Amino acid sequence: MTAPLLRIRGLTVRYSSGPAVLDGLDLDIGAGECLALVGESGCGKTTLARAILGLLPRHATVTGTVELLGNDIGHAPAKGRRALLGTHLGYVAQDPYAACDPIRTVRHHIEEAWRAHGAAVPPGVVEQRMSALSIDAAATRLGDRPHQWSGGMLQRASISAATVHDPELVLADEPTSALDAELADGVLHAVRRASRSLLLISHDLRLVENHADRIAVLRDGRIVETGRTGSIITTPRHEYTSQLRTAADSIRSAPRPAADSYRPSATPPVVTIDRVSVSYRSGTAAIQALHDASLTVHAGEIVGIAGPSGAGKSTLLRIASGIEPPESGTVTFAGGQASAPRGYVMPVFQDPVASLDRRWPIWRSITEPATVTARLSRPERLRLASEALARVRLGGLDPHRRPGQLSVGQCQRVAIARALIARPSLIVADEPTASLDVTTAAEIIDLLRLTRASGLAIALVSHDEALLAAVADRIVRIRDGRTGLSA
Amino acid sequence: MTAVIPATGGVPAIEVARPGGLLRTLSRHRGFRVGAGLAVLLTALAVIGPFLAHGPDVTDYVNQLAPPGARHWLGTDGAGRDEFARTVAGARTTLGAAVLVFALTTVIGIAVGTAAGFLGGIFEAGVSRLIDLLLGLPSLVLALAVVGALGPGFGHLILAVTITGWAGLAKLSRSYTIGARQRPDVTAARMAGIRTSRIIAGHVLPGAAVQALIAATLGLGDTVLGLAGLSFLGLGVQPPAAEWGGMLNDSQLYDTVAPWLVIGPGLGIIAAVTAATLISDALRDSTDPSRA
Repeated sequence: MTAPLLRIRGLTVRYSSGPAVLDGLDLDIGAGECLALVGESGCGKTTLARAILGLLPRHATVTGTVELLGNDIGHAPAKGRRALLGTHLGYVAQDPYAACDPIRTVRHHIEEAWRAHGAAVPPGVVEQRMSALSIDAAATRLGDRPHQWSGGMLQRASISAATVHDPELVLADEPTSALDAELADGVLHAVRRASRSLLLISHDLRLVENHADRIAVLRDGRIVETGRTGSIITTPRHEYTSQLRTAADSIRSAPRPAADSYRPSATPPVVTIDRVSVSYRSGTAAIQALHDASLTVHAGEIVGIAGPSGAGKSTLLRIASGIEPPESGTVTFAGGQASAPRGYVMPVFQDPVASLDRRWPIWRSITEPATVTARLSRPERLRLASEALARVRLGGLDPHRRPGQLSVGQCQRVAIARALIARPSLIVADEPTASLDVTTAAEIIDLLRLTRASGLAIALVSHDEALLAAVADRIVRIRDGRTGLSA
Repeated sequence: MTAVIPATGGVPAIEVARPGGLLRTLSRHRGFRVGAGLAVLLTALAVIGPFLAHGPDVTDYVNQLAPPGARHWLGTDGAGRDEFARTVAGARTTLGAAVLVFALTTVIGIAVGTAAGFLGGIFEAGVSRLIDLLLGLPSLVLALAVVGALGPGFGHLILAVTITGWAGLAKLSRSYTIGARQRPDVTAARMAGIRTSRIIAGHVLPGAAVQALIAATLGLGDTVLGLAGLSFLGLGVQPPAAEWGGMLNDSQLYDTVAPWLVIGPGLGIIAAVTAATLISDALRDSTDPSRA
């Protein structure tokens, strides 16, 4: 290997007086190489990106060196660093919508790359680049505002903007985490093709393995393993790398439950939704959220509900919860009732921390459903809470803690404990793993699978079809408010 | 590239709801210390003052309009009553009225606003229009109209200021509650079958109350000024009872021969309003997440 393009030596970053977020990190990226940096949330990935871009907050203390093409950019004055980065580095952000100015056209964002370097925009080049990234009707659609584009298209446009000046290195920080699973691979392919060298930051080992030449695994601010993609995937040397892989695998392709353990038609339905329509008023326009949607969930089965964002997944779930009445159509619970009995359906939400009252110690949140039918004393509730915590494998946790003192994953377990204490027949889970990292998500999915053993039905909404395929007994697809055929 | 890296991971920003956290932050706030000191001083004066001074209504016709001295610390008024004793008695009246108005407006505002926000429907629509109507009228003019209609008096004064004061707090509590109604923890409680009254009491009221109390403290200085102002106009406490606004009005008669008569009630009003403003500023600073 020739002299590396990007050379990082002993990079240590701490915020205020906290622990080191990056701890003596060494990293090299050679010319023409694609390096994937993989790790869970909180491991320091984004801090590394900020350190390279010189965007660390003022209160961060930095030691060590970051060299791009042999120039020390960590200690360069701001102006010199900008000139260097502007010419030699392209950056693709995590959320393309957040990275774009909503009142400017998409064309403006791409052309800005030329203007920033004081160059005139050559005619026709923008359209050409867009077509190269397989965006149809580029000429007309470039006049749209960012929100009129889909996430995948806009991310490809921002890749184009980042690579206009053909930089030596492109830095992509979780470029696909805001996108649906089926789009992620295509976007990664596009960014790989458009860049000469690429530093790809991701939490998903499986996703990057088809694109990266080398993989570096980051944990607690240190690189625990680095090597060629093939050897990392087949023979990981560090235990943590295997963990990351198993976590990613268990979500995607866990063994389905044995066929004889479950026969949906044999069990009675817990909820039957029959040709339900719901519309919302948005300003003067009415939005048809559900259109003659039907769904039956039987006892003891896990039904996955899949579909793009805005398809009506969450509305269908609210109808199944009985907290929202349908405009037309019928919903029947427990074989014949028009409304759900108390605690018959319990929810698990996308944002675990917000789903618990932040003022309450968790024992109060967990045992709240149990107080509907019985007056319970404080010691009784504490005992119940400890039992429930043990059931969700949080046996050692102090029930006097508040949600703010727990990790996100722990909060989700507490929310599941609260759902279970109501002895529900159905749990409705709306993207329960969307705010968790891979390892934690796998644990939560495991937990949901286990609870199903007692005859409990689960309706699971996710935009991640791979995850649904792994957990659900069957998948219902929904698009534009209409439920499709079950898979 | 105008992109800003989204703050995922990186800086740990966990909000810890730890009891006593607000008090600890407040105790480090310099403005709060001064304001709280003043408030304690005024309260102490109102409570133990009567034991130090002569009666506020004892007339001493030999010593009318006496200048401040050893016998009468702040002098005497036109009827020979001790000005210090009257200032102390006035502290009881003015501060007592302000606290009463504070309590009434917060209780009414939180109760009405939370109920309207949670129940919705016609009740909410009606309450919202009433609130908008009250907020649209100038509060001092409305209070004048109420006292004018009912006649002057301490009770009517409290009533008038309360009527104009609860609306803003109700609007605040209403919007907080509407937001809270959609919160996942409230949805979970509803699905578990918890009664609406218990959901409001357990999940909604604590948050709404903290927010409304902070807002009410912000308006406490205005309340003190409004009460004193209405009394100054002769619409509040009736003579001979001592009240700061009324005392200032009385002192106008003698402002050329006995200018010291403004010292007691004037300083009292300044101290009370300053204390209320400093404390509310400190509260706002300590609860504003962008300043943390």
